[in-house]
Amino acid sequence: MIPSESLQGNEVAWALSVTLATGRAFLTRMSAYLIQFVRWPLGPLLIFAVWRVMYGASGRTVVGGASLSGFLVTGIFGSVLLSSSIWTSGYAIEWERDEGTSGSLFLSPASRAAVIAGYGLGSFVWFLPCFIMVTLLGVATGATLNIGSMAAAALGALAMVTASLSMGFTLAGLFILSRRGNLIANVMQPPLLLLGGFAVPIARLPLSVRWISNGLPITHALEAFRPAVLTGAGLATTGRELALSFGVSAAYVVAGLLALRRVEHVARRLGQLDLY
Amino acid sequence: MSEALLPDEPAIEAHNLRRLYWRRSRPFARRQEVEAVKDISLTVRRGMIFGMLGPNGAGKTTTIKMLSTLLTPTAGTARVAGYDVVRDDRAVRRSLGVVLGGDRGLYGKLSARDNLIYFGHLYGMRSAAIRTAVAEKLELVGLTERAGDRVEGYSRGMKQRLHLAKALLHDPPILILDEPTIGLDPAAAMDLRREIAALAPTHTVLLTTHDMTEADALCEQIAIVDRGLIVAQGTPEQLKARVAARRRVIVAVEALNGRAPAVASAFAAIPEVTVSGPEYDADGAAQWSLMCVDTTQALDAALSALRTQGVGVRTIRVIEPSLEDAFLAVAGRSFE
Amino acid sequence: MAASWSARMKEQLVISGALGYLGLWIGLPVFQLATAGLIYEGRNPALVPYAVVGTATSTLVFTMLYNVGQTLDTERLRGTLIGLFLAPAPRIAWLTGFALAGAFETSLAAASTVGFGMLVFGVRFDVDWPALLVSLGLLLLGLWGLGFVFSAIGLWSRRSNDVSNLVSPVMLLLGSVYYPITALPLWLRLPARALPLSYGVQALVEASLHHRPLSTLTAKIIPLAGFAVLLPLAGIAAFRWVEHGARRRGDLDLY
Ligand SMILES: Nc1ncnc2c1ncn2[C@@H]1O[C@H](COP(=O)(O)OP(=O)(O)OP(=O)(O)O)[C@@H](O)[C@H]1O
Ligand SMILES: [Mg+2]
Repeated sequence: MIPSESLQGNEVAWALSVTLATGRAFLTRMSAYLIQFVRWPLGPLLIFAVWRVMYGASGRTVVGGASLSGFLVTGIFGSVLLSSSIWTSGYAIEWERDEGTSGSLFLSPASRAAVIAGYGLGSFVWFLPCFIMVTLLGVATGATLNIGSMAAAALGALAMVTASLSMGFTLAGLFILSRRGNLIANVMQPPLLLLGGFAVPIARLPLSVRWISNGLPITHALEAFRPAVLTGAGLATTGRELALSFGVSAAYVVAGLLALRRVEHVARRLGQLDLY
Repeated sequence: MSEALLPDEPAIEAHNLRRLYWRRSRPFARRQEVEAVKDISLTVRRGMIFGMLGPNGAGKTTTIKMLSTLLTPTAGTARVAGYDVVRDDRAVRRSLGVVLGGDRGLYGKLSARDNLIYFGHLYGMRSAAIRTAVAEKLELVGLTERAGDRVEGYSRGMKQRLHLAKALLHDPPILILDEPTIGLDPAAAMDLRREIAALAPTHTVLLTTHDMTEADALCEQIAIVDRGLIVAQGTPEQLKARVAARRRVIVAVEALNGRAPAVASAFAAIPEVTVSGPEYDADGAAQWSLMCVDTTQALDAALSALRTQGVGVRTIRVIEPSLEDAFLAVAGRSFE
Repeated sequence: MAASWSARMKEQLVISGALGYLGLWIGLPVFQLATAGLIYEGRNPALVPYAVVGTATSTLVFTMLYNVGQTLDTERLRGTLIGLFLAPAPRIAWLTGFALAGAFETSLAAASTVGFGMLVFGVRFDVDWPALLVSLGLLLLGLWGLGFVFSAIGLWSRRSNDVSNLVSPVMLLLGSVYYPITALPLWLRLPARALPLSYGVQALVEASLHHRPLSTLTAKIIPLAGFAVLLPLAGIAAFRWVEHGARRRGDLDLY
């Protein structure tokens, strides 16, 4: 049945090739819009500036045990990862539907998860300049790194990437089920920025909302990443948050896969796979 | 792969497919049911070109979407390439190339080539295979010269060609084509028909069309669908035979010099013939149309009647019933 | 205009379900205010009431921005944008219709921001009503014009929603939403003074928190009046110009 030039017998190789191809197509499609070159690098910088001025007006210089700049730069780093995930992996199917290609996509036998992962991959490439800008900004505003353990720092960074990707995965299904992904994505940003602990240490949040923060993998990742790069903490200190972060991320991925399956099921039942 | 196609199993098999849609005319209004497909059963043998005809809104596209896994049937079952379209949807998708046509379904910001390359990856092709297949299919649909341009700038017909290239790219054993030649210029449509015809018998094709000559020329089997039901099915010849009574003999005559009433009554006396006429053309020549089953007998009778009246015959034409007549006979209705 | 307003309202209700939709619009400013409040609280509590008024005012801008962006993008996606342009109705009518569709959600967002500030941060108001109403009226006129400017930019970029996403943090940074202009570094004060939102927030803060009568607010009211006249004119001109360009390039119907 299966011709030899096909990858269909080998699920892993096939998924990988779909992910790479989607990432490449994503980059080509993004670069068709001039505004995207401006919007992404600039947006996080502006938010950094707003926070910075607010803290300046408040007179605080030490936040959450770290210097203000260090605290904010790591926060922005996390928020960029998260927005890139929300707007690309999370928005993947929504985008396909907007463009009218969701029908073609769902007609294909490719793994939907691989397609969404491809969007995530593409977005990290697209966001590279943004990460560089944020780092430069950190240096310019006097943030100093204090890395005690390379392993803790690297695992912290990995936890950040995994956490944001897993959240994008979950959102991908939810956005399309809600049929209003764009609005939700816009409106989700401020709560996530607050509850994830990007701008204000979560220790300062009222207890009544902290359970939401604890349910977000990115919160734990940030709690592990910040001390590892700012105050030289080792794995002994960050281990608990790291484990929590990876655990919650895994739950999000599972939820995302279920949501995706549900999307396809509902859409096929309602006849909406190729409709806007 | 436990349910791979057995040698004599049909490529596409549908049993009592039914599909409802729900629609609301305004927010919070009660949902109304629309029964797009009432009860459709069909069998498409392997290697066959099978056509679905029917008026707008008959349920053709809905049927096709159910067969291609885009819609879950409300009731009934279907198997494509031996796989159930609900349970084994992924295996079905692997065996299918689908053209739903229209302006959408392609990435507007990618070039035709990049679109095809991407879809090749989605269908699990290896890079080397994609390269050769893309070049070949672009050539086939005549888009090689414009292959580097963004698809958003394509004309409707060019997009339709690209849709076809996309469906053929991974060389699927079964093709489902919803109005494949829509929007194509006559020459391109003819080329495409030749391509489709060449697909059989190595491939199976299920297509819909509003073009009767296309259906007649291409399809081995035709189902005429109306209001969600198959109202007639058979080979084009069988369908035409059902309207054999619609054969027509058109007799144009020389100057009548006032003998029109006499000729008319002589024609009316011919058994098993429905007469209409006379109609007069621009230079005043008259013609009658005789609808009949047996053209030879009707012709004989008409000629002898004219001879008796001393009226000369100018031309005689025999018109065989077309697929269009068959279509109009079973599904002819104004759109509602 | 009424038609485009009601069509838009209907659509929003259908698409997002009334409740979820309202919840979303309330959440946006409330969380922004909460972030500001947590940063100021305990160190510079005088800025909290300021941020309440600022955030409530900024909802006007954001609903304008997102409604225009979202609507234009959606129309383009569905291929109905061309229909709008083909219709003989003046552009100003349907654009205003889009903006008005946001009136309800804006009021709600502003009211919930104020309510949140009063409940959670214990903010008290001392309002001079004539000053408040005049400032608000002038600001709204200016924003109405700004809406056209953004429609034009959105149309030109073909990604209105991304434009909105780019513009909103600029507004937050420079529009005096969370802090007075003096909190900005010197080089940022100049562009901040070019935004109607800056004057609107300052005037509304004075009028609603400090009971300042109109006569003491001329330094804010005069620039606001200027924007109220200039921005609509500029917006209409910009929109015409962009529409003309889009026609020349032929990309009105492209996504
Ligand atoms: N997504 C949908 N929601 C509601 N009703 C639908 C939907 N899609 C199709 N219908 C309805 O189902 C019926 C059959 O539509 P379908 O598209 O299958 O017809 P068709 O035979 O393909 O017609 P055409 O020749 O015009 O393409 C129509 O009455 C149509 O209005
Ligand atoms: Mg159809």
